[in-house]
Amino acid sequence: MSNLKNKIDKGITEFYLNSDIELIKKSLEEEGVDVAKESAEISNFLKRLKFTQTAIVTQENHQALLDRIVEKFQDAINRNIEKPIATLINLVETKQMSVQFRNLDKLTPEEIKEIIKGKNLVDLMDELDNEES
Amino acid sequence: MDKSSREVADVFSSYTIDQLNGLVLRMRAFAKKRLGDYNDNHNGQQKLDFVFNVFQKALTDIRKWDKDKCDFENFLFGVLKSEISAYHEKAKRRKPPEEEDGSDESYILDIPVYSEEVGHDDLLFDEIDNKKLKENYVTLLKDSGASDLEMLIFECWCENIYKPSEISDFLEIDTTEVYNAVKRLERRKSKLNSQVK
Repeated sequence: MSNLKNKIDKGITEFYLNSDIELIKKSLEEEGVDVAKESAEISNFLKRLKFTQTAIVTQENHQALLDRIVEKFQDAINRNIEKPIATLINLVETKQMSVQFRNLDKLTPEEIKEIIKGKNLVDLMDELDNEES
Repeated sequence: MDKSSREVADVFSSYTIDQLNGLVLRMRAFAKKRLGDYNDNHNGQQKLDFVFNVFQKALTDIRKWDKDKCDFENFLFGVLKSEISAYHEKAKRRKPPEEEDGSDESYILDIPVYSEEVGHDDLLFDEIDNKKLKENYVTLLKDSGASDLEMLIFECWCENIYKPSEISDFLEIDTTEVYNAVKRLERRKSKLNSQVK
């Protein structure tokens, strides 16, 4: 596309990006679009979109929290800090997990995630923070 | 989860529902212009569906936003353009040559399909290096019956003045007048584009 066509294309795009919304609505109505009906569709779509957006943020926050907890447990194991280790052992025993989970030094991040699966992560994080202080 | 979709989610959360409504309507109007006014069935998709798909693709990493390249709304409009271009390309491939109806929407097919989204801002747009091309276009506009205001708006674009409010301030006229003139200019453009290199 030539520079001239690009200029015209950009001029028209900017026009839609920045025009007054009431002018846009009026124009759509004049061109036969049922703006009220479409607004209802848009409103429903935006509700679904907000839900997806919230789910993405929640999932990411959950993942970040999980990673931090795993790091804290790994750090506690490496530094032999008693209370977090006791919490971990308690979970392994309560869940009657297999022998591989009992050798704390060899636990992988995925295995730690398996041990804390089902626990309320916010509560667990608070517990770890309290144990540190 | 990709960094892009998290950034898109964060920007969405900073918009109010009214702002999002406005943005969707702008994109809806833009889609209408690009897809044509004839009907609202484009291989089973309505114009609003094209707009909705843009939001969904942006939020699920199918289209990635590079915020260093363009702002969020430019990115969405860039994706919409690209989606509509892809639709036209597909329609063109499926259409037997003898059935071509000579529709004046042919200009749409000139727009490339972007494999990665960059929005429509590009430094290349900043220079018109061919003065003669511009003069030819001005002549074409004049011959097609363009008003003085349409010509002035075209001159503004050539001088990198794009925003309707800036054009309206610069020309000291109401934005409604700018709006109407741009719409006429846009219709004229689709007819003139085949004559512009």
